[in-house]
Amino acid sequence: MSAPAPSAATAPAKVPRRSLARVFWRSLFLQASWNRRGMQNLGFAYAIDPALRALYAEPARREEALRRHLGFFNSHPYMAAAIVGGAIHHEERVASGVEPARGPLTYKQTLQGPLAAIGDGFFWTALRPFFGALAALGALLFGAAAIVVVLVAYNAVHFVFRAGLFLAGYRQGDRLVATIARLSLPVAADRLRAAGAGLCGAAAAVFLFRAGAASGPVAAALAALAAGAGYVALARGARLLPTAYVATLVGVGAAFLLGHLHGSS
Amino acid sequence: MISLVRVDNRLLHGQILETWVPRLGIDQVVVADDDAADSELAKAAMTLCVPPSLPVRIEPIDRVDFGGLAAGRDKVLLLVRDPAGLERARAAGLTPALVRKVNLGNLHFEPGRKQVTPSVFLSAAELDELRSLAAQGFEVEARAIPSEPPTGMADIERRYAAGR
Repeated sequence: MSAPAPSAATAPAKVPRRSLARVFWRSLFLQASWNRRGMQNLGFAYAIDPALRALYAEPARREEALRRHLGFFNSHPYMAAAIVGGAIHHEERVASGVEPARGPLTYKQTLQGPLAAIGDGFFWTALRPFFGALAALGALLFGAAAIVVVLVAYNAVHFVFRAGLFLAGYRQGDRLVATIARLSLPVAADRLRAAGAGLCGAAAAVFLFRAGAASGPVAAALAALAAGAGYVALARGARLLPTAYVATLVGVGAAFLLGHLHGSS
Repeated sequence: MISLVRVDNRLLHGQILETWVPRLGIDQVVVADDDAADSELAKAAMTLCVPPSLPVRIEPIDRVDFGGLAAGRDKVLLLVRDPAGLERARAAGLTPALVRKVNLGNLHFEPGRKQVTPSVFLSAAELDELRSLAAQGFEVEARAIPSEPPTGMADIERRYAAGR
């Protein structure tokens, strides 16, 4: 329900809640039309469109607004929610006539890089590996159902972050940066990485313990030796993926060889 | 010393902080960009996204003391937004004696630009600027992250000529 517009020159333009909710929903599909030229540009324009429709009744102005959001955009997909919210904050100011039309664009261009860096550091290299390690340990201890539980938990955390960032961007505009600073995400990331490494260690211990119980202490010692060799290789700068492949191949080869020796003796 | 000059439309972002900084053992990042230096929002956001152990300076191109950075003990990653920024940095005193390597990270598509790598699109004027850099003695390469194979000037020329 839109109230009859009072004198349009003085009333600040506001995006109704329903449109905000639609923008947030659409922002979840930010990367669905990722492309080399504009990267997340189409996803961004698609997401913010309901807000632009609410702000610009006149088709020519709406088109102009939509076009400015079709320019290049790329950030971390979760952190981008904050930029989508902040862009609406600025679009409201443009629609109210208190800010030039470049405002939302400058905001996007300024924040996309730094927020991508924060998001990569926190979500991709800390939170996600932490939950991955949790899933691995959970699967060892409680079976495959643990993986489902961890996936749900990760996405609950991720969703709360996205919604919170979207609202913070919308309400605070440029002050968003101070709010994100208060979250101390890099510090939290360090702790999560340490905790994730601890979980990996616990998973390895469970593995060794079971190997020992099933195949005797020699098997456990071999597995510990292999894990130690892997650690030394990685700590000395070996690349992760080739190391993992080599470890898998050596493990499978050793299993075959031992099986053969056992079988023929 | 200046370890690398990076050209990136997005300035400071994850690729730089997660890959280049650890790979090169960078001690300090200098962002040479007039718009960023003039924007409180940009300065706050860039300061926020780096760990406390890595100082970031954001300065207008004309104010950067390239000679001082090259002579200092810190390993510096120098960041400019586009080849036009490089041109101005050269006018302000950046020479191959101070830093050899110029890395093109992300130069976004705009009408009139041709693609030379997945993340680098160049205009004719920018290609000219790169030629001039190479002729002066800079080693120009395009790649987003250090684990990719670098694309050198010869390949950039070839792909630009073949590009659409």
